[in-house]
Amino acid sequence: MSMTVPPPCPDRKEGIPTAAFRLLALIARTPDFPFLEADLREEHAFKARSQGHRKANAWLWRQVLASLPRFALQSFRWSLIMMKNALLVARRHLLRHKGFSALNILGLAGGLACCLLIGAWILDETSYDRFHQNADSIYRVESDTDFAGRILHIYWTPHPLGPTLESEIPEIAHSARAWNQGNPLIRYGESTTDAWTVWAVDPSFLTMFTFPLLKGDQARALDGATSVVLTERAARAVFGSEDPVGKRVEISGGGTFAVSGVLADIPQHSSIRFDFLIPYRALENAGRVSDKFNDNQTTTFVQLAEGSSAEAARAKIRDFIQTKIPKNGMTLDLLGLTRIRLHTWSGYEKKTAVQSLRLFILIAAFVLLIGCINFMNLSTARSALRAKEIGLRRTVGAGRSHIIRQFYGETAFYSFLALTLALAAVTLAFPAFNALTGKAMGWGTLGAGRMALGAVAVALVTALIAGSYPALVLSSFRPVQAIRGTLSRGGGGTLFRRILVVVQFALSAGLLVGTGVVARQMAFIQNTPLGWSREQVLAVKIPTEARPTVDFLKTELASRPGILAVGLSDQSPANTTWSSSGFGWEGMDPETKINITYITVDEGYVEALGIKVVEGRNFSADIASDRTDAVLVNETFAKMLGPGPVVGKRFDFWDQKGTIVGVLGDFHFQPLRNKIEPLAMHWRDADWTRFMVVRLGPDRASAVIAEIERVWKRRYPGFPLHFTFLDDDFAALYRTELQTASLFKIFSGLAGLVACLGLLGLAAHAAERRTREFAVRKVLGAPARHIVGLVCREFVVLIVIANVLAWPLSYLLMRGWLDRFAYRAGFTPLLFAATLGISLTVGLLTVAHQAWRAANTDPVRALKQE
Amino acid sequence: MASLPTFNEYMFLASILALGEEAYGVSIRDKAAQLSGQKVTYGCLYSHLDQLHRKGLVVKRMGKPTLERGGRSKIFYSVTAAGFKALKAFATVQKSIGAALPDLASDGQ
Repeated sequence: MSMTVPPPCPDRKEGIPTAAFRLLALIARTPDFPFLEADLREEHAFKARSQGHRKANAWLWRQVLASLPRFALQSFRWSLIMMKNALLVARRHLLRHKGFSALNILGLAGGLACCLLIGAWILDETSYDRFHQNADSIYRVESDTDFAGRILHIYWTPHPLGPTLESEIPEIAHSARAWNQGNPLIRYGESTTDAWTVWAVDPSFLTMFTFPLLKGDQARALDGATSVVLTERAARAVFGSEDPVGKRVEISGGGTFAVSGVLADIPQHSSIRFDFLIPYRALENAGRVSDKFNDNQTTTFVQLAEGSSAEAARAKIRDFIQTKIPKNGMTLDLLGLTRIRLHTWSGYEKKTAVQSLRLFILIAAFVLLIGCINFMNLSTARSALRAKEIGLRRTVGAGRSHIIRQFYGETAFYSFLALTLALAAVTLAFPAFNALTGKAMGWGTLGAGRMALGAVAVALVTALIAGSYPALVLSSFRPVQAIRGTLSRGGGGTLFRRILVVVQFALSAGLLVGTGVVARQMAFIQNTPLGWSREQVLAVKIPTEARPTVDFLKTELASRPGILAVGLSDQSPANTTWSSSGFGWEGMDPETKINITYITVDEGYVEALGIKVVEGRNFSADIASDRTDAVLVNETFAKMLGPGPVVGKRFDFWDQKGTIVGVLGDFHFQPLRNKIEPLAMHWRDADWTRFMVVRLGPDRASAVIAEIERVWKRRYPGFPLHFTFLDDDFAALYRTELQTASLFKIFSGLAGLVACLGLLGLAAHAAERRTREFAVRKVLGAPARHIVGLVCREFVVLIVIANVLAWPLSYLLMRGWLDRFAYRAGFTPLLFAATLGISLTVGLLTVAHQAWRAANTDPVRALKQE
Repeated sequence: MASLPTFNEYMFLASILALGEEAYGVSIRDKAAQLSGQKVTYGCLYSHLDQLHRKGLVVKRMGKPTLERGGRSKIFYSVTAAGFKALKAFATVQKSIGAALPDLASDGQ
């Protein structure tokens, strides 16, 4: 059917509301639209003559508006019919060009799978602590203390804070303190265990949070000073099949308790984890709870009164400590319960888990973008093949919007195929991904509905992005040229494709550099001299009961062959964190505010860890006063002590006088994330001991450990021996970073793979398009390697440009992550060179096969084909 | 027997048949409104014309462009043999259904 439509008359003069027609055109899908418009014009003209313009216009608008619902309905039906047709054509294309379609779909599926995995991870991370009914009104109290301009942030608080806040601040309705007691020895009858974490809490803990009791009274279970509640899991392990209620257990450091309730096991998505809860009152009665406002030992949770805003409460508690201890310099803040998982941090610099989460959101977006670009590239590269189809469609009356919709539909079709693949891949990958991230994710735990919704949304967004360029470019073809095949093939399209390839490779090179940065940092952590030696050193945990006699154990072990040195300390050598500002020294500026990390040790500690003494001497067992008033400081601290020799300076710990006897070489007593802070060491009686550090000789380690176990069993029967190698403890500090490193490797590998799929497709297309050119070159005598070179050169240039662009990209990507570390390996030109090398090698390997095939096609056949 | 047209299809088919050679958008709409005594929108008209055309009950033919219509031509509709059968089938059914009822139309008058 062919019809020529004469140009319409100018509308303005006639005064026809053309907006009404435009609106109608938007919705009405009838093939006879021009005649519909003409009908309306005719009747409008008639009405304008008989009733005046205004009425005619009003009539037209009414007609159009009244017609819209009907047309909308019909339009929907039409689009379904069109979609069916588009899908049919899409399917045919898919089957005719299996190779390209496979590349397309695999690329998209790779991107989608990454997105889904990272999405699942984020969903998992953000769903913590939401199961509490009062989740939105519970906050943890945190504090900031100003030390000479440096703000120390901690989430430990003084014991009396909670109850005082509750009684003095109207916005705070309830408070509950929770004091982690670690894993004390628990005795039930004859059996002992230290496998369970014990928290001392206020009775309100059970009513504020949603940790339901299976047995016992939720409101009163912890009212008695000798009550204890425990989780079902712990109850089964400790009491077996007996009914635990009423049973008596002895908890070291607390006394004897009677079980008053059994808690349901703590949900997986809880950042608050414990096994036993004992009443705070038990520790108060034992005299272990300080009533001072400057002793930060416990965690304080508060629940806001109904209708109170967190802002109002924050403003009121900010300077609350000031009202108890003037000039304290400590301010309080609130952190929402549901933010604890991702926004917890302590120290001088804000380093939270949400930072690495953001990094991975970026990575997911990158990989998906690479997959989308693949799709755009491949479909526009193949556009010449579709030109005739599009030309025909347009000739028989398809508007531009039809073509646009057709291609969006087609992309949606591809992206849902890819989604199916991606979902299968993700399902298969879950166990491995769980093992890597230490999670227990699955469709069930994440809420299959939410995941499905997210997956479909991501697939739609993908279709929208990936389909945009093909839809716009292909729909702009002029029908006549398209059918005649005189469409210009080079020009803008090629340039745009090249830009896309560059973007794609820049993204994957950026990820590759990121992987390198992470790997280098991890190697840096492993190889940095710490100032102490972590190899062949055991840390033995000392239970409270063993403390009084630990000196005998120490002496006994020190004399054994294969043991080089034994020392005691009150904190793990890999992570020493206790700090205080209660110090003074000779010549100290009284205005100085300084927070000093302190550690209580014995005379063997420095030697057992291999810490260097750079000035003065270590503690000595021969000098009796060393046990009470000798102090060792590190170099960082020594530099702050002002002029004059450091050794011999008077140094006060709280109200105890002391003298500095030696200066230790700086050593990393905290993870490399943190700067080396000023540190002081003193020697006290063994009562405070929590760790014994044992340096082993170079050989016979297993025999020596067996010997230690024997000695331990004889001295402390009933107490399990817990020991770790310090290098393992050290490695455990970087668990999240190691995770990041593995995830990075996986995702950048996938990104590279997806990018290569695209490159492969493009190279194949380029080789195909230039088959005749190559044949002519060969006839004229060009050797095969020239032709290979021709194909490769184009891509080499693109990859090099992409790598240069990847520099700033990777810097942006990694800066945030590297900022976590006070000590870092950072970037190096070598990293970029290696990335360039890898991307060139992989890129060329991808292209080379196609190039080789192009170069070895028989020129006669290539030229004959017409 | 071919499936029956809907009431609206029947109405438009009847209008086209009644108009003979002069059945195009404006006139069909007028006629349908006049025959049924109801308001008929262009949306209703064109979606049904499309439908009738797809079912092969009507055919279209181009007229000459006129100035009145912004320079556009008219498109004329006429009922096909299939359309005629459909009309007849509907009328027969209507008659037999009407016969089964008490005389509703005269009641009110």
